Amino acid sequence: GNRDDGKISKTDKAVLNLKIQRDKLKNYQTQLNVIIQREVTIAKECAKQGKKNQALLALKKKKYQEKLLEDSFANLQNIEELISNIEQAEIQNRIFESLKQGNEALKDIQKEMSLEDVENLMSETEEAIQYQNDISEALSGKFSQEEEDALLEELDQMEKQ
Amino acid sequence: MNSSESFQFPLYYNKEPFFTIQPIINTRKIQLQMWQDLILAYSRSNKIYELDLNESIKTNLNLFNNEKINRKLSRDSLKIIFDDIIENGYAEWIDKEKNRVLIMWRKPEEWASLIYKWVSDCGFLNTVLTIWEIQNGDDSKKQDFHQLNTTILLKSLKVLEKQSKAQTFSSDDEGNLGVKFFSI
Repeated sequence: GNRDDGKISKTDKAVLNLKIQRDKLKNYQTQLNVIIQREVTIAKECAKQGKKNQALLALKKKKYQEKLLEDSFANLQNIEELISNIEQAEIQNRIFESLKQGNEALKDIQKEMSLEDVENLMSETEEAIQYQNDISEALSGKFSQEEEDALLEELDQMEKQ
Repeated sequence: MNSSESFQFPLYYNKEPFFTIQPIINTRKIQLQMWQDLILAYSRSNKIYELDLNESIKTNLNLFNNEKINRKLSRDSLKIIFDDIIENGYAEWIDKEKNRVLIMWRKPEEWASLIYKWVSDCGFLNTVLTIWEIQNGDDSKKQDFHQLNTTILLKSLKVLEKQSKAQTFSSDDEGNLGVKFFSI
């Protein structure tokens, strides 16, 4: 498919750059560890063979590499912190945008349903209920007490079924 | 190259005729299928993604050379076998000379699903990952695609791109690639 650059933001590219630097640092650390191991092995061998000076030299080299390794951890932490901050800021930004959107949607809905509209609807409903009651009253006046009792008994029978 | 001590060769690996391409078509078909199965299984077990055919002959790679029965595949037989594997979609020539071959014991589509699931499970959707960290990162160490061949990884990412589940991109001129995975 086409490369849709609309999906990749400037922030994404900035984060990618940082992560690439992070990867390089991690790789560098792996290399340092290999060298350190090697110098340790050399030092042990030389010590065994009584080659004191060479053993000492290997240990000095090892010390130096360990210092480089220590420094690299500090750099790594800085980069990872920065990456974390950027990613967190992006999330917060997206939440903010969503809240803004939700708020506007709510406002639009409320616009369609003004307080006046609700009051009108309530009074119309009240009128309708009143009308219904009037009809019931009018109808109830048409039946004699006898007929009313008969109707009630019919209802009783239905309920018992 | 990794030791292949843990790999169990099938019984037919010890049969002499197996190492000679059979003339009868039906027998040959079956034989080529058996070689394909063996090569893919061996590659999978040893996490081999690329093979140099001339090198493997020079170094008497045990996959093609059974010293116990004193039989080995000729360079021509190798070409016939691999042409067939390639036609079935499990490999590709890397060079014009048809000497180096990319072995896809797992197809890019399957890798794509695996990777996407891992990204999703780890909560990495909508974040940026580098190609390197998918292959070598601490989080990928226990995954099948740890140290996956880059060519195959890129093919898998293309599959995901077509499904709009990912987008590869670079941020500099050095060609360092990153990828962003999307939820669908």
